[in-house]
This record gives sequence, C-alpha cells and structure tokens, in this order.
Amino acid sequence: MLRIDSIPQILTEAIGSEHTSYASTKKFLSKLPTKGKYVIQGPGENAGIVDLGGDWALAIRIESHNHPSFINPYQGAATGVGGILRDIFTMGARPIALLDFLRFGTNKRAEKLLQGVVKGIADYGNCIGVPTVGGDIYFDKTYDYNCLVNVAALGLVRKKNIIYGNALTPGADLIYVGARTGRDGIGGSQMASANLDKLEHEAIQDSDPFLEKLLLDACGELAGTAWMEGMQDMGAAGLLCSTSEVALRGRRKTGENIGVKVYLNRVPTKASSMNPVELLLSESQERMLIVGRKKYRAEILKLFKRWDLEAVVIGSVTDDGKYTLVFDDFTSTRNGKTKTLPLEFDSVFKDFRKDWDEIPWKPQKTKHIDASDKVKKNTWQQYDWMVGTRTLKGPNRSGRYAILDLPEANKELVISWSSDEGKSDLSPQKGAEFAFDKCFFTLKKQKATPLGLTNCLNFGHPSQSIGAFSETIDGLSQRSKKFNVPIVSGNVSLYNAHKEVSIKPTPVIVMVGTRPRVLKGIPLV
Amino acid sequence: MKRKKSKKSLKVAIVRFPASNCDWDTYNYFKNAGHKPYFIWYQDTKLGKPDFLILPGGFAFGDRVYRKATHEFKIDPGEQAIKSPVMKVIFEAAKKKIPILGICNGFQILVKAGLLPGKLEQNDVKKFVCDWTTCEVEGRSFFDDNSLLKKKLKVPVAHGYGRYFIDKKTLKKLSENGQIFLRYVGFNPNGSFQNIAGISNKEGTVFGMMPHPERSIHKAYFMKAIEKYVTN
Repeated sequence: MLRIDSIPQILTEAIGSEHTSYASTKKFLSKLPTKGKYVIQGPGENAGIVDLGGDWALAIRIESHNHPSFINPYQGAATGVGGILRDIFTMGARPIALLDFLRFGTNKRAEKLLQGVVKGIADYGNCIGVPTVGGDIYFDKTYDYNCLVNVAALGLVRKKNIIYGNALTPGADLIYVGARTGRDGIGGSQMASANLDKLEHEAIQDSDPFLEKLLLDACGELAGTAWMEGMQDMGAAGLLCSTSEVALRGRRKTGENIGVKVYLNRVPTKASSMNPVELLLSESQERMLIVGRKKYRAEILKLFKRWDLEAVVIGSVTDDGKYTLVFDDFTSTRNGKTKTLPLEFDSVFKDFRKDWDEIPWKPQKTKHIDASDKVKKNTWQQYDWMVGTRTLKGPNRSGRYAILDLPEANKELVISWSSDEGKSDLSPQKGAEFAFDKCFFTLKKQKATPLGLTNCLNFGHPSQSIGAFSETIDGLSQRSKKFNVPIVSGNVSLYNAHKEVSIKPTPVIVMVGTRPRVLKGIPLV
Repeated sequence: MKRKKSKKSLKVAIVRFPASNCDWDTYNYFKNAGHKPYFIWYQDTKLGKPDFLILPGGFAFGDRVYRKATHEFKIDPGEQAIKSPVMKVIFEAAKKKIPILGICNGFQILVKAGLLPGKLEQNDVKKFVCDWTTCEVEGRSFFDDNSLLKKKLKVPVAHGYGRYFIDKKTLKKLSENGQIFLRYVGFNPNGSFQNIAGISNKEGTVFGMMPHPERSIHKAYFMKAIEKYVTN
C-alpha cells in the first residue's frame, strides 16, 4: 500500500533512472561540441534546431526504443516512432522525415523481431503521414538478446514559431491534451535502465497513430498562434517528467522562483482509482502538456475540441518555487478529500551522478553483417517514403543519404547517416570517427553544407562499457571540432546487456546539410 | 506588351478526414498549378460550390473501426469515414455531376460509399507497399482526356489495401463502358484484378485511383486533364 510520505522517494528514484537522468554519461556528454553558427538550439531541449536560412529552421533528434522493442517488437517500435515525432512537433515543427536504424541478432528470434519492428514502424509512420526516407539494418550475434531500434525524426519550423519546453510566467495554465492516462508503461524508463533478463510486458505501451496524427495537426496549428509559452511531450516518466521539466527549464531561463501546481485529480484517466504515483509515472502514449497563456484558455481548449481531442487544465505555473501535487486522498475512505503535497525541486530533482570504472572494451570479434538487398527492399517498401512530396532521393536508390525538397527555404536538405559498421568493437574511438567521416563526406560529395548532427549511442552495461563510451565521445568530439559540425541533440541507451554480456558499442550518426535546389523538385525515379 | 492569357483558376474542395495525411500534398498540387484549393472538414455539411471535389490519400480515422465499449478495433479503410456528416454533401455533389476524384484512401472511401463499383482488398503480399509503378491510361481516359490514351506514366503507390476486386459480370460492363482508365504495367503492387489501378463511374464524373498523381513526375498530365474537363 502506497504511503503519502513515501511519494517523494519514489519520484526521486524514477527521475534518477539512467534513461531520464543520464547519471552515468553526462560527464562525458558535456565534452561534446554543441555550438556553431547554424545552431539555434543544442542539446537539453526536446530536439536540436539548426538554421536553414531565411525564416526557416530544422528540428532534429534521434531516440532509441531498444528494450521495449525486444519484448514487444510491434508496439515497442511503433511507440518509438510516436515518441520521437512528439519530440519534434513539441518544438512547433512539422515532422518531414523519419529514419530508422535496426540491429538484430543472428539467432532464430531475429527474423521475428525484424518483421514485428518493421510492421510497427510502418503502421505508425505511414498512418501519420511522415515519410521514412532512410536507415539501415545489420545483424550481429552481439544483438541476440538485445535488438536495437533507433528512430530519427526531422521537422520544419518557422523560426518565429519555435516553442520551447518551458514554463515562464506564474499564472499560466498547464493543459493536458491527448490520450487518457492508464497503467500502461509504468516504470518504462526504469526498465530501459536495467538489463533485460526479466521480460516485463506490462511496461510496454500501446500505440495509436491516429490519435498522434490529430495531436500533431492540432499542436502544429497551436504553434502558429501566440496562445502558449511552452509545450512538452509526455514521454519517459510521463506526467512527472513533463511537469517538472517545464518548471526546471523556466527556472533556469528566467532566474525566477518558478514552480508548478499539478492537480492529479483532474488528469483524464482510462483506468480506475489510479494513485498519485501511477498517475505521475504512467507512460501512456500520445499525450502532451501545453503551458498556455491564461487569457487564451478558451481559445486553446476550443482548438483541441475541433480536432476531437480531450484537453483539460490540470494545473498552473506558480511563483512559489515548489513542485506541488494535489490529489484525492487515497488513504481516506471519505470521498472528496484532497491532499496537497508541496515538494522542493532540489530534493526531488537532483543532479544525479554515477561513476564507473573506465575499463577498456573487450572485443567480441563476431561478424557484423549488412542486410541483403532483398531484406532492405522488403523493408523500405513497407514504409511510405514519399508522403509529403519532398522526397527527391529516397531508399529506392542506393546510397546512405536522402534528399528532401525544401521549397519554403529554396533549398534541398541532404540527410546522411552511418553507424560504425561494427568497427567500434576493435576501437570505439575509430568506430565513432568512421561513422562521422561517412556522414560528413557523403554531404560533401552531394555538395551540401553541413549544419549539425544528432547521434544515438547504444551501449551495454556501464560496468563493461563506460570505457568504450568515453572513447566514443572522444572520437566524436574530435571529429566534430575538426570539421566544425556541432552535435545538436542525441540519445544514450545503456544496459543493452543480457546476463554478463554487453552489446558491442553501437553509435549511430545522422548529419544534415543544405544545398541549392539542384533537382528542382523533381524526384529521382 | 502582350498579356499572357491567364487560365481559369479552379475552385477545388479537398475533403479532409482526421488523418487524411495527403491533404497538404493535394493542396499544394492544385495551388502550384494556379488553382484555389480549400479544405472541407469531415463534419462540414457545406461544400462552397467547387469546380472539382477531391478525396485525398491517407488513413481516414486511422483505417480503424472501433467496437463500442472496448478499445478493440478492426482495420477497414473507409468504413468509419463513410459515416461522416460530409458524406451527405459528397453524394449531392455526385448527383449534380460535380467531378470527383478519390486518390488512394479517397478511392477506398468512394468505393465503400458505393459511388464507385467494386472492392479494395488487402494487398496480396499482405503488406503495405510504397514504390514507383508504371501505369497505362486506357478506356475513356482520365476525365475524358484522349491525349493521355496509351501513355505510360510513372506514378507512385503507397497503400496496404489496394487490391481491386470485382465480379466478372460487372467487370464486363466496366470494360464496355471504358470505365477502367488506369492499369499497372509490369509491376503490380497489390495483385489487383487484371492489373486495375483506377476506375470511373458509368457517367465518367467520379474517378478513383490507387496511385498518387500528386507525387508523380508526370503529375502535369493529370492536372491538364482535370483543367480541360472542368473548363469545357
């Protein structure tokens, strides 16, 4: 039975999980070069943003959904796509492309996982109408018990419409919009922060691309108004992370004593008698938090209603510097009694740090196999890679890059990608350098000016892999500095390990650049 | 200076269902050709006197039909869409012979609504397929544009439920009336009956096709046919 006085400790543990806190990796990540003349927003927001010139900018981010996809390949991959798309449209950007990077083992299970993952990505991305324009697939024994599903998304935004995930003004509304909250996905981020020896089906969420499409359209419309001051998607540790993040960013940005008050008893639910911890940690999909300007409350609620979306004011921004929860008193048998629990930011949302010995990586020397052309074609044909009518060079033609038309900015976007192709096993530093060089020289060959990159770093158990992680960061930093391509966003996935065996270090890089409209809007058939 | 004679700008109504994801592609297709496209929401019951009515591609209602009181659903493209309030005005437009085109999901909806004959079933490969196809124009052509006949056009497809199916008796009638206007040549992405990619109604006022003209490198041909049909 949950006790009220145990709530702070439970929340601290949830927020301190590796997935949400980057406790083991942040000291390395801080070394990465993140600034440059095209960078509008570096790491620390929902997505990075680079300048396309003129009125336009590009939001870019990559995420992993490795653990859930191994347990439930279809839902795991689908919700991965949903999550990364929300990271993009949370910034006010309209998603224009998806890419996915898949790694499977060489055992029997691999084939089933591949099928489920591809169908999950296809059903979600196709329905939403964001084209999947590229990616790669590799097989290696190292992934037998830990498949990798990394999804990148890019979005187009007018500079003046960029929205940040912050709460700035006391009195502003916290508006909850989208799917109802259920018990699905509780503890999802903690699951992604531990080895996969125990399969946890209940921590996987269901996906609803239809609802996400409505959210995307509605939030896109809202981003064009002056009615809100912030927006944050509900991803890992759902309501807890989103409501606290907007406040923490607001505190940093304004230097004011910003707080939030969240009425958990107003949260729309799909399960009965959920307690405060369940409400805060649920990772039900397709939910967003809007920080709305109070005088436009009616307009915002009306806009969502028009898109058939449920929206509710669940709280407000305060000036007391506290994270305050209001909930029905579940310890009382009397109806209608509420409890108020004010928490200090410093005591719950700490600067979590975890140190590991940086032991050198022990090579596994297993074969790293590129998927056959047949497997590749069977995969990309299942994705709508042309919706949006921007795809000029898609997966139907060879080459690890895509070209998208940006008539708004009178430019073409060239997206290049690469992994280490297994080379990190012998030298993590060289593997990272290889991946960077591939992306960089592909852009050069296409005569595109590099603007920035995003990266997904998939590693095993930190006790075996932090040494390798450190080397990967060194390789990436040096290259990024040398060629002046900053890292604008990224994701780290640790604990890709089974029993005592970690996966090989697997970095994935996506780089973007622009060039004039060489192809003049005509796709390569 | 000689003034260029400007062509007539068409009023094009684009019916938008929740998750009609080719809405903007279709909008830009007409806009870039100098026309005046505008959206009609699935709950609207006024069309605003369009010259041309279009149901774009996408996944209206996520292709889902929910069973009441549970969260369970089945996938059945178009089934939920035809229950929309906007259908009433689409039927009225068809009766008034306002030209109507359904692309991909729009085609599925027109077939479900009975405005076009036949059925669209799941692809024979049981998978979504997105790729370029080559299509040949035949029959009474696309909106009666005879200059398109026998042309082989590169038009992309992107669908999971595009296998056109019809009984032999109706098929014979369709052939006789020239209602089959588009067939896949070579690669048939869905296993449709006799490689059918697009059909029209008997009167030649309602057209449906699985391939996406707005994505095609030959999109200008389709646009010209529409313009000629409406202005004549």
